[in-house]
Amino acid sequence: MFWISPEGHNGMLSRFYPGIQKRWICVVIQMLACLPGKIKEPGNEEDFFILNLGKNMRDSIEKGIWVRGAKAIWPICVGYFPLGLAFGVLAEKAGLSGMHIFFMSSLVFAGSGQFIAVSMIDAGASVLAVMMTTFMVNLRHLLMSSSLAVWYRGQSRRRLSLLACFIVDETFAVNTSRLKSGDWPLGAAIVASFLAYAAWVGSTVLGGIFGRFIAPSAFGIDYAMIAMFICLLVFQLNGLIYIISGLAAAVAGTIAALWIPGNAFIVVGAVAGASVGLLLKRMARMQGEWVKGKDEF
Amino acid sequence: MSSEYMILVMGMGLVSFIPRWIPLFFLSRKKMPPLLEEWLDLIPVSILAALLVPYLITAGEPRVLSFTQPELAVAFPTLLVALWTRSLGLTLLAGMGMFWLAGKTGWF
Repeated sequence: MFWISPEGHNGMLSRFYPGIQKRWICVVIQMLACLPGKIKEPGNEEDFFILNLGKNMRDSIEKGIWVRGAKAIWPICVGYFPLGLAFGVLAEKAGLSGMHIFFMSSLVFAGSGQFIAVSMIDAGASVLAVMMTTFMVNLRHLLMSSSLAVWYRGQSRRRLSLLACFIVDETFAVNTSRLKSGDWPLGAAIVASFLAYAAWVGSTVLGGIFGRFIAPSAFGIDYAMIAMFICLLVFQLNGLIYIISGLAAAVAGTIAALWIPGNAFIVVGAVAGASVGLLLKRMARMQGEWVKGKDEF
Repeated sequence: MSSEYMILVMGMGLVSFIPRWIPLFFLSRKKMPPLLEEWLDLIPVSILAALLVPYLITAGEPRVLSFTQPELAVAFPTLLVALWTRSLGLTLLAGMGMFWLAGKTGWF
């Protein structure tokens, strides 16, 4: 996939075959992709692009969203591997085969939710109980989806639904930090999120098959997720109000974590943090003197 | 594969997908009240802080405050690397390396 780079001639294929033109690579791919379909008006070169699949593919190649997505998401994929392997080992111990793990990871795609579900399955919980717990654990994605909707207003609903499949803590954090730092098209967000998803599914299945032979703490890989969240948090601290909200969320989240079992503390902390931030922002705006507007923060 | 397992997994998939999908599908067409938009703008930082900080400073089941975990000690140099490099990849590698060293040298 990586030879389809926006640089064209720097791509791997062009390096091996220096004469090849990017445009012709596109045409060949589209011919292959469109074989089963119909070409409306034969004889015109542009007709290959009439077909949606071909057009989308050309667009994605020209904008280089696969490369951009991969560049943004690779640390997440690295971080998923130890986590996915650990999950696979645990699931295997609970009696799930590689195929079972594949179906769960590809249909559910939720790190902590899957860990909890597997321990519940191991304990012999009912289907309904596992589903209810999964729902509660993943409810925080409601907040993330709402937050992303602000950025992608008016975009194609089909593509937004595709993006929705891949919303988890990590992809959400990467996508929002990219959105805030500049141009981040929906296509790139979908690609990046999909690659994280693929890494998760692959690593959990590998963990289920080979995980018994891997020491879980080798090379500090169990710290990958924490290191990543620290960096993603730093990306979000773009002003005083964000720092205040983060601190409020940390305090509220910690208090909630001490009081309630499970991971509801994430939602409690997030709602409290954002509300405190908003309240302070509003109060500051009402006083009006030391804050002129949103951009000042 | 038992059909009960497939039902379970598909049910789990459905209840995970719906909260992810509904806001993105419906709110992306509506003009949201500005207050809600401002609130949602503060959600990413709040979620990350609420996710990370309790993990670093609490431990056990039921959880109690604990400031002596190696995870917390390594978090500070990792934070510096993140602030300095602003690179996810470098932070990841540095954090993993430092955590591994902390374990190896037996500081904790």
